[in-house]
Amino acid sequence: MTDILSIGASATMLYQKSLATVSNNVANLHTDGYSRQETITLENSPAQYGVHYVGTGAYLGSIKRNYDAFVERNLSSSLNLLSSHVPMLDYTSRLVDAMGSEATALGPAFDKFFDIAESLSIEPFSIPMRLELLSAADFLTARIRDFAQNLTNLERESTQELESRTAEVNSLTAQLAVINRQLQKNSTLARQPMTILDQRDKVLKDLAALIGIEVTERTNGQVDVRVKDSGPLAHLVSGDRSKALSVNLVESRPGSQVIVLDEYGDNKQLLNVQGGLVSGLSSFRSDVLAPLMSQIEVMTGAFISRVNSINREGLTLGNEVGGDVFRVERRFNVTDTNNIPIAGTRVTQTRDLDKEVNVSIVWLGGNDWQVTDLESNSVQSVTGVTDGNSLNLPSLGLALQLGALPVRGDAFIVKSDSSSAHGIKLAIRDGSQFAFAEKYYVGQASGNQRPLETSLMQREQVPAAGLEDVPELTSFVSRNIPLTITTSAVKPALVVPQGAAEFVVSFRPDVGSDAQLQMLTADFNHLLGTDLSQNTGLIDAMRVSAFDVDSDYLNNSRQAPSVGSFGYRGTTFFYGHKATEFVQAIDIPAIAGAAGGTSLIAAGALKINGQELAGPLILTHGESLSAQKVADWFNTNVNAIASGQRPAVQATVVSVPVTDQRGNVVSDPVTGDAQLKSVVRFIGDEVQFSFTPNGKPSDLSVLGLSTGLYASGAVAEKLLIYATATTDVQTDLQINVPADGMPTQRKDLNEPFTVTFSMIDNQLHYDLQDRQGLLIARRRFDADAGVALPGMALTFDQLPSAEDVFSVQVNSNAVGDNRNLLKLMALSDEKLVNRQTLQQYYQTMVNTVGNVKEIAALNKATAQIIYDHAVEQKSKVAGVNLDQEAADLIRFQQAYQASAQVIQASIKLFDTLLSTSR
Amino acid sequence: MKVATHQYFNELTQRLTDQHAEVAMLQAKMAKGDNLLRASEDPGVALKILNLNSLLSKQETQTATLRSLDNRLVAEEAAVGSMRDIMMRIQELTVMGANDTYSRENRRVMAAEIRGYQSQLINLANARHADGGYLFAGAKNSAPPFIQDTQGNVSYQGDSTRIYLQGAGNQQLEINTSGYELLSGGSATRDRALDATAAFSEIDAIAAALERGDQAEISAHIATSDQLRGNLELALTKIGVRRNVIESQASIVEEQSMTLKALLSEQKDLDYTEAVTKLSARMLALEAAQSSMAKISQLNLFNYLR
Repeated sequence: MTDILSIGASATMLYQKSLATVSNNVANLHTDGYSRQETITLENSPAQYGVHYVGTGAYLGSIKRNYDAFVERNLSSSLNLLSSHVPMLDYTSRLVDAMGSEATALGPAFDKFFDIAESLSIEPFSIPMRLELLSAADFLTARIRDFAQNLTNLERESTQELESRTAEVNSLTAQLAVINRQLQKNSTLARQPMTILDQRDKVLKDLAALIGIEVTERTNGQVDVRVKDSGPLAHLVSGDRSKALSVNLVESRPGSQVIVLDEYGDNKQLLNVQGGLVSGLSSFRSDVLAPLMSQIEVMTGAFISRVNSINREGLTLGNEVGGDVFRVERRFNVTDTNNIPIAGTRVTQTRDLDKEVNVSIVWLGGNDWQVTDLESNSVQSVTGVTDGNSLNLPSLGLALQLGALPVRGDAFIVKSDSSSAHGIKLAIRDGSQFAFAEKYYVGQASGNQRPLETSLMQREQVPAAGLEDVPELTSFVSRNIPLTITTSAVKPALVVPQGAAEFVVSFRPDVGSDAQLQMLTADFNHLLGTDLSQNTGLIDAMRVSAFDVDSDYLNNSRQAPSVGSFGYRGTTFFYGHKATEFVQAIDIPAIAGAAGGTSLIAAGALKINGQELAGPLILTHGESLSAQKVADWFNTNVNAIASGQRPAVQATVVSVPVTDQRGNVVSDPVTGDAQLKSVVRFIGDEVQFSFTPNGKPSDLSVLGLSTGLYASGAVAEKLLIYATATTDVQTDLQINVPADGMPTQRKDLNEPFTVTFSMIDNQLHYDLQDRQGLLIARRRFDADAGVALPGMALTFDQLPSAEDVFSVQVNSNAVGDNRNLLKLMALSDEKLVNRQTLQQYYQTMVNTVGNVKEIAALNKATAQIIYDHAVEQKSKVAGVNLDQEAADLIRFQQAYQASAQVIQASIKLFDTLLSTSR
Repeated sequence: MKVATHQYFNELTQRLTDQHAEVAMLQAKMAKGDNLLRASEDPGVALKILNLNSLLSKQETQTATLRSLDNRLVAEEAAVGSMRDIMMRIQELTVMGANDTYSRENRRVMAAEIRGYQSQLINLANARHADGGYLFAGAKNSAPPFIQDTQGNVSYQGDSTRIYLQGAGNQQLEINTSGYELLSGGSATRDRALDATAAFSEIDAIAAALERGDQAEISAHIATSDQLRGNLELALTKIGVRRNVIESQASIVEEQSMTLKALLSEQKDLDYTEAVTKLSARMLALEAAQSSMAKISQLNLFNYLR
């Protein structure tokens, strides 16, 4: 008999479970991630009765989880897309708010500065208005610093968010690994508990919101997760193992970062994260923030350097050449070893730093500190003086003021940067230091044909082409290497730059040679040597070789070699050999007298301290020149000078060790003692050998002395030194320049020049005279090049006439002159950065960020629609609808009641059966 | 198509909050009167506003500068005008003095009058502007340009630098008149320092000639005194021309300002009519959404289960 009872009983149990499932759905109406569950009823296998089959009821086949993998994946990927636009939109909106609103934008601050400059143009001397300009400049620096700080804050914030999102990813992947472990227990999907599957899908969705992933589902429901498009090895979750992501900042490039997978494991790799919040944040940082940070740097740097250079071209109210208007202050940052800033610390630099500070310092105790350079990782111990809270590290050039008393073992990381945008500050403290007047004034004298428009432009003079391969004095500072040259009347041996203060150029020509040193200015003004004015061929050759083609040869300052001491424009020169206390010969040349006697030094060829040495130095036949001979000759001739004028110099013979070329003492190979030689020493408080018109440098060579050109006092213009001889020979020049004998700064023009025009050979020439009236250059006038002055060129709107005189002088007291101010004002229209003006550049910056924001907004809106649709799809499949559940409730209730009736019916049947047998 | 209850409530709530937010924003805009509450609402418009503000402030500065310049020119005009009048009188006296009808005594009186004008001229030439600067000293206007020593010799301490102003449209406006221009003899000699005092020596010579009573000598000065007056006339005319240029520039700037202000208002100011209309529409929508949600959310099969 078909078991009505069991059919009824199993049916009621079945419908009980169905009701339970329905109530479960209702209970989980608002559970996030819950998928609706449905009971699947299956028919029992029928029982066979003869040829008939009778059904045996139903059983619970399964409780189905309404889940569509495709819908689920769609949801994840659309969430991934939506999330990637969210950070971009948020952060760029904040940026646009900061950059584009009137209260915080940079544009108005620049406007204010230039507007006040414009109103100053009528009365550049007005102190109150200059003060206004100063405060507008200060305001501008504050705005720029605020803006830069804002960007830094955004960078920090986005870093923190990035780090926290990465931590979220890591915790989600860890959860997923745990879920995978639980799913491990069953081998088929159907057997897996539904709550775990729901949980798994929720974690996957949350993960997709953060980072783009590729999910592979195994047959039992376990998932393997890889980072999307990062290759087969980029496993985030593999079975019950998960790997962690970490964020590494690139310190040298703020706003850049690298996402690394499994940093401390075996398979570390850099990731190219796509989609999700993490990628959105990374894109914002690298595509928007980092370029913006560098752009503001570029803009500020260009602005500072241009304003400063304009101010340096002008004259302040105090008649001084203008200095820098803005400066960049170095910022210091002190943190502990975890990069957390230490409150209350201040760092100042005690001397000029040649590079940025990036060190970690540890107190070893006492005055010992260990300093690790964080770039090169080199460690050194230094002395640091601690006094309460202050620490002085002289070797680093830093002084720190610590917030609390340092404890032994304390470690600090000190970093500095000189960012223009963060550090821009005013370099002037009062309005009179703005240099609005032009530096120089061109006066036009009486007798000039007609008034001309003059203009003075900054222009560095190009050195003559022929000087390119001539060595410069600067290469010989503090070095003792001789310069080997061939004498030449045409090509200079050495160039002395303007401002060189103390130097000696000397040589020792062979005995009998007529070699001389000569000196000319770079303007072809002959200062020392033989008059060349008759030798037009030589002059032309020299001009081509070393001078400007328009220069004329001048010999008005020329001194003969016999002059001894002479001066030129503030520098004192001496030609000969001089020293204080004594002069010692290097050696005595080995010469022997020839038949009939050899006269080595002519009578009256040399002077000692200005007095002539009257007698000749003659070697008899076969006599060798010796130190004694020289000394005797010298002393005899000195004593021959009248006692009132006799120089207090005596010659003695001394024995000195022989030295080789490098200055090392040469020893006798046999005895080991130093080899000695006899030389002459001339002793006196002041010993100065110079020449008479009969004398020449080779005469001093006879005495074993070199002949030199000595200079003291900064030279006023570039000089060329020649070594000449009738027959050209090779010779060595010794060049002696002490370290402080070299110019560190070019002397600025502070003396007036007079320019006088004249006609020479039917061509317009001009003379350049200094304030003393000394003629320092004469040149042919080239209208395009104008009159060349140190660092400047003077041009005219029409040709000057012969006899016209102009004077160039410092424009003192011209307080109403606004020409340099006009240059400053013109800066606002100058294409300063990237072929754009300041305002345009800033507007481009704002525009770019604004465009990114608009695009992000559009993208987000589109992604939102797609996401909303995906959510709808999912809810269609897996969502719980109350009406549907209510209907199911009624249905299963009825079915349950009906099944219960079936049981009752079967009981009645059984009772009936039982009652028949009684 | 099935709609999950959870989903349904979520969507409804989201829409309600969105609508509410929009209404709140409109209210804020109406309270402030601005089209944009924050720059990020419409970066393009925000940028335009920044730009327009920048241009407007430039115009304002230019207007102020032009006004200030005009004030200075007014002062110059007054001083030069007086100098010209004095010169005319001197010229008159010179002509009179060359005339036979006057006696030696008359001529002496004329000479005295002319000498009196010397110091007046110097004072006028040393005229100062409201900001303290000397008007006719070229760029060296922190000190009086004309100095008279104890002997009565006049020297010029200023210079002949021409000062320009950047006008609208990259024009350069010359703004100053130096002592040289006013009081040089107008001769061929060009020493700026020397010639700026030529007038004074000339006046001295005229007075001396009148004192000596030499008619021929006096007549010789008629031409030069005329030239001196002519210089001043020329300078006066130049100043007048400059003032005209400034006036026309100022009106151009003003016109531009008005255009800019209108453009700015278009971008920046809220169109109230539009805003109010939008607000009522949004509020209506909000109300409708709220009441419909209240009603529909109660519709549920469970309500009908006994």
